[in-house]
Amino acid sequence: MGYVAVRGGTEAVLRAEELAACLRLLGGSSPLQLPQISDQLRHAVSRAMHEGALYAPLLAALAVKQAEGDSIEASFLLRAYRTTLTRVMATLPASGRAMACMRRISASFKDIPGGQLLGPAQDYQIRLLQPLLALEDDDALAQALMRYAALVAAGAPQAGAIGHFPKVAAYLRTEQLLVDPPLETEAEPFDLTRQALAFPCPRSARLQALAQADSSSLMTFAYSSVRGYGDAHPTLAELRYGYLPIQVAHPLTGEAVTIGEIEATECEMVSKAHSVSNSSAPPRFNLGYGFAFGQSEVKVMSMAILDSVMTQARLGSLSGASGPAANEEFVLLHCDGIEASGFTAHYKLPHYVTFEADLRVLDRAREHHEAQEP
Amino acid sequence: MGFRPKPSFFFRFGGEAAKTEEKEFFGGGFASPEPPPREYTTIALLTNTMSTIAAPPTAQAYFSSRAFRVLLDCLARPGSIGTLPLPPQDDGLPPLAATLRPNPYAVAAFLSLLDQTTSMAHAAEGLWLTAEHPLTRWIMLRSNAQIGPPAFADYVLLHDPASAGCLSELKQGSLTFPEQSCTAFLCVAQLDACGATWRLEGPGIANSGSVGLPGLTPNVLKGIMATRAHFPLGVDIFCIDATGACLGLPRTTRIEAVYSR
Amino acid sequence: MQQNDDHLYTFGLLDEDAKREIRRSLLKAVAIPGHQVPFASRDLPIARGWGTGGLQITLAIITPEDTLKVIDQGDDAGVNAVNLRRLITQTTGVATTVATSEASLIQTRHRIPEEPLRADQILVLQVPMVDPLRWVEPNLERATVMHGEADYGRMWVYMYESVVRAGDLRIASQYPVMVNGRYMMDTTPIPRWDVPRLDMAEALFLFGAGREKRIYAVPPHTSVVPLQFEDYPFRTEYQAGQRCVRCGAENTFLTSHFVAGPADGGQWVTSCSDTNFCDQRLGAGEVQP
Repeated sequence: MGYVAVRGGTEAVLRAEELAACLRLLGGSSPLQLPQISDQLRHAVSRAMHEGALYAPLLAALAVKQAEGDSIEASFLLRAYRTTLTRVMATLPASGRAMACMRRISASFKDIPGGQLLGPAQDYQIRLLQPLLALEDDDALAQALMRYAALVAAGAPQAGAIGHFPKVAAYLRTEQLLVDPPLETEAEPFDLTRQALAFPCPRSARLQALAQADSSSLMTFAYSSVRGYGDAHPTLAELRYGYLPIQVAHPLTGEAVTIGEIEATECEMVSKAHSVSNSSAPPRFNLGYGFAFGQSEVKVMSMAILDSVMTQARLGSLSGASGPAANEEFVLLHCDGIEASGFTAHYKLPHYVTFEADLRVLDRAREHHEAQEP
Repeated sequence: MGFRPKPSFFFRFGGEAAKTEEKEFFGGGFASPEPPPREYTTIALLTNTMSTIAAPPTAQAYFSSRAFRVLLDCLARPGSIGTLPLPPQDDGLPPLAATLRPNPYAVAAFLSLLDQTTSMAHAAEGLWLTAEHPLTRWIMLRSNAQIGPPAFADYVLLHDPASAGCLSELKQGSLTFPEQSCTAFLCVAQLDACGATWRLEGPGIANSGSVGLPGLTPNVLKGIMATRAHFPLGVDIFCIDATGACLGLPRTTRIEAVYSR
Repeated sequence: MQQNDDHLYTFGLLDEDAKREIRRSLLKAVAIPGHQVPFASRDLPIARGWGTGGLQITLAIITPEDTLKVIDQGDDAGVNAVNLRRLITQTTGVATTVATSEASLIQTRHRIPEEPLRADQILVLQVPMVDPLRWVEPNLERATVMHGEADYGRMWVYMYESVVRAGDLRIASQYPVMVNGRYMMDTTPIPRWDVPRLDMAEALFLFGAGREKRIYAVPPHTSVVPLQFEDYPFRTEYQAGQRCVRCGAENTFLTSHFVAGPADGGQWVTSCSDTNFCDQRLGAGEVQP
């Protein structure tokens, strides 16, 4: 018998890597430069950062390039890099109130203190392909930049007054319209990277898991909850996007020192509370919170909806069918894109042994089936 | 534009020697390749490297890994005596008392498991030592571990058999989280693999095993037994002697004193 | 924490904090045989589900003196075995071998080597699913309580229904076992053939699930009993008359392959899944992975 099983995995793996690497270059187009990616593929870079849980725009651009635009692969590269970094110190808690907003809207009130600021929004764009974009060149770019510069100069606000707004949620709190956030007994927030998630989990663990979750998965879960498999009735209290200053405590003096700012999106959703578990307390709205690096609006809205739904589920204040999105364990254990894609893809690995075992069991089941036949 | 991939292009890497293998790998049948463009070859070499990209372990990291293997083996095989490696540095372990010096093997093994996420406590002559004790400070400085109430400590070091009574105060975990229990290091004078002070049974032991602990007082066994009445709850214990000999006593080990006539 | 500037990464890739956490979890896993111990599970440059749990254990316990063997489906040359071996050797520089008897540390997926393991060897198993109770209770919180109370009634019902419907215990791999008479444990997808070899073994078995963030262990000389009924005892895949087409072994775990023939369409053949065992019987000497 001249049969020889397929061997030589080392060679195959190395060659496969080379082939994959060369497909990117075969077209002969000029290589992408990282600033091109970070400037012109902003949303891809944002997504790599919030799902990779690392704020590093240039590295994220590199990850997007290396992953050839695959969003989960790009965030995976960043996350694997993050794990090798030494933790120098933790930042002080940052409040969205401190954000220099480029955009800030509310759907709950027509007029909000500070006003609505539409800012850079693609929401009202007519989704028609723009053929001119395909022909864009350096001259077109220079002309566009000059036009923008003129517009900015004409409408420049007074120095120092840029983009700082009060929070809509703060007004709702003053009016006693909001349920107080659940009390966290832990002095420090939960850290998923240092502790395995166990249930029930603190809200800080939930928010961390949601913040680094796959955006599409969050959207699906949140959508299911608002479409029909749930009891969520969210209203957008506020969505803001801009630059958030980051501070640390000075190691010697303990004073807050600003070390830089990050681009971020923050969202608060209010949901109507049909009832509250503590019957003596007057009914109030529930607040859900969402946050992500970069401009990532659907993600933070999905996150805020899910946060609110889970809080209500925990308090037993949901009425009607709660739906799968209210199952905190279900959502948190399945929303991580890197884990989900890894396990789904692992079925590409050889399963010769387990399949052989399956075959043997199938044989026995067939024998049993035949024995049952009259 | 205009550059269309041809199947033959895929086989340009690796020089002449690799060509036949590549053909075989893909089942053969493709056109003979031309030499590869230079930049692509460079990329291939980069991803092909099999050389070590990591630094050798530091002395401390090396010690920790070797000490761990001894601890792991001892806990997996209660009754077999392991030998802990020499600590990398012994930069002036502070004494416990005028007559009692800490066991450097036990301190180093204890230290190898501690960091800022763990809490510790230690006792000598039956008394818990305070946060101000020089040895407490020495350990905290090197581990970032917190000293806490013994009942909540993750790791406990008992410097002498006289402190074995302290074992009963340690946390034993819960039914859902039995791993959230204390691990204790107990310093003893001597461990004798051939002796028979205790007879041991349980997981990790073929049939039954025995171990000698010359000069041990009965209170030690009493202290240990107090930590394992409610499996899966319990405290896991390492006994370490002055020469670094180590005995693991996981909560699963049943111990019986052997009385000589 | 000084580091050689020539190197990007530390020995074993993981930082010392991560290794310590895994080591602490391993000690508890050994002390409570079969109990799933949670651990943080760091992100690695290998995809979740591709062996990150086993890999983290290996990287946390490996020393420069170790000799490493990595197999997947029993094969040293499996593509994922090759890839994991590459990462481990690149970040540790340890010696590797394909010979089971030469290895001090063996990382494996889906198989236990045929050659009996010795007391000075550790087998690290990559685990995809950690909890046999997940078949009857997918909720982690409730399953944890069930393990805590050794409340395995629903699992027995599940096994009974399997007998009624299929005429046999129709679990192919990851067969549930009772460890030390206390904890119900998932055997990872090793075939039933390998399950009895966990019982009262000489070597230490460590199980790592990276995505599920759990570690568990079976110490040597520990009872591991598959779930079974008196009238439906546990059986392995062994079939009388089975034989490896390469080495002729009649007492190993075999996998089938279809070999195309020139005219008649070909035939099914079976060969050892443990390639090193098979090669050694053939006297083929070292075969490079």
